[in-house]
Amino acid sequence: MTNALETKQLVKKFGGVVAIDRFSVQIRKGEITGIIGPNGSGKTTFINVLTGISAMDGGRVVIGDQQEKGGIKAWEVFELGIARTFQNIRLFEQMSVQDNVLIAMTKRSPLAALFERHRDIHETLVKEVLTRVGLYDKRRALAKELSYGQRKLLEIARALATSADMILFDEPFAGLFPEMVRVVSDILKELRAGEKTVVLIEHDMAIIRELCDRIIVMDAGQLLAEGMPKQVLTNPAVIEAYLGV
Amino acid sequence: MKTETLLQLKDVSVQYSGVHALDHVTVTLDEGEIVALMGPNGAGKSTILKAMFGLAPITHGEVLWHERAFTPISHEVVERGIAFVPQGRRVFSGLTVRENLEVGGYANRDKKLTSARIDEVLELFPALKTKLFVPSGSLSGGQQQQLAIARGLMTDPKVLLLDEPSLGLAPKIVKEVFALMQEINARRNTAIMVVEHNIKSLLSVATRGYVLDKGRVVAHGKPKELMKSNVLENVFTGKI
Repeated sequence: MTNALETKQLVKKFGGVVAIDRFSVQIRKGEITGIIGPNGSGKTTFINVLTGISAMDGGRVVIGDQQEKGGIKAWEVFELGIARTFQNIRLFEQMSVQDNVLIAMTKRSPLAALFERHRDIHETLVKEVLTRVGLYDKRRALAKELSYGQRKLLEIARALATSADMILFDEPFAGLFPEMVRVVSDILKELRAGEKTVVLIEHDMAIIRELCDRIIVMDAGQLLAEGMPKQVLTNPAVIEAYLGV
Repeated sequence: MKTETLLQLKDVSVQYSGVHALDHVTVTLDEGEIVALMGPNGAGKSTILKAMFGLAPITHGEVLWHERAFTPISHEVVERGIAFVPQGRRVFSGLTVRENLEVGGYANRDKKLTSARIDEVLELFPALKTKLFVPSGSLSGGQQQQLAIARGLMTDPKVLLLDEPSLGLAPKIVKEVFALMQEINARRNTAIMVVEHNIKSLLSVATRGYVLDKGRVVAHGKPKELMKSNVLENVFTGKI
């Protein structure tokens, strides 16, 4: 199976703190790869580096069949076919739900997108993704008026609207009620069925077991374990560091 | 002996931009209780906590403290002994962990007491001990969540309002947070009202629960009664 992404000896430091420490992993194309690990183990920092939010301090990264690179810039993430959601939700608060999605669909500047006459294709896609996450009825509400769970769903809708080949989800299920957990979990399965690559940071082990083809476990910025969910979740080192007795 | 009702929303309505977030809701929190608020996203659970803490526009009804109506204004509410840990770990990211805890203890009006409280809460969250002088914005999401809860405990509150305390925490820490909730409740007799999606864990520690849907209370009772009835399933699957 081909890799959608590979890191080689990736390093990220914050001052004297090594957040990612010689981290080498492969994310396989068309699979759902779970990233788990204790709080502060570097999971979010890892996807921040992959999406240009944080610059890497060492190592190399290979996206698909492209040449390996020494870093990823935020502006090139869209071109690389990568989208993500944030753990700490980042929406345009004063804009409508619909406009938040429309902005994600365009690679022009947000300001230009606001004044654009959206073509039917844009409106159709907005309707499709908002209906998928159950927010179509709220399309004219401002993002700031949504509840926490609804805001998470809007983040997911925005990521879906980019049509990216690889989507990195940072705790998409946190704060969602069970019915919406099922909806989001179906969305992730559909992405996999459509040969998209999904990277999922999640603390709910039932979800990890159900969805993930492979799991990567991080601890203190390093790779603690990787493999199939069954093997990894019974690994004594993983139980000790992360799951607890 | 009758337990005293500490905090109550009586027939309260809250509107945001004309939309009813709460629609004539009555909920109570008695001395020594852990009360669970459950329901779908957007049901009004967080709004209940905000209304009690003076952070939601109440358009009808009243808030009662020790059965007397009062107008909740956040800083006064803290001085009455009510602490609120909001959803989404809203720490002061430019301040260090210690400074965040000091801000949480501001209402103590006593530096020595605040210092002693910092030592006490750090015993509950040892992961923060080594990060005391680190800007809280550079903590991981889970560590920020722990800091938000720790900050809420700085005034040794009589009432603790927790909005999704387990959000973003590793399984090992989630277990510790629920155990901690019980410990605070048992040891300090702190009454706790908590919003949480982790229903099973929540009902295992709660003394009572309310189920909300579309801004209304659709059921309330003891955990066993709620688990036996279909109400939770019906609400979460949209059958109500």
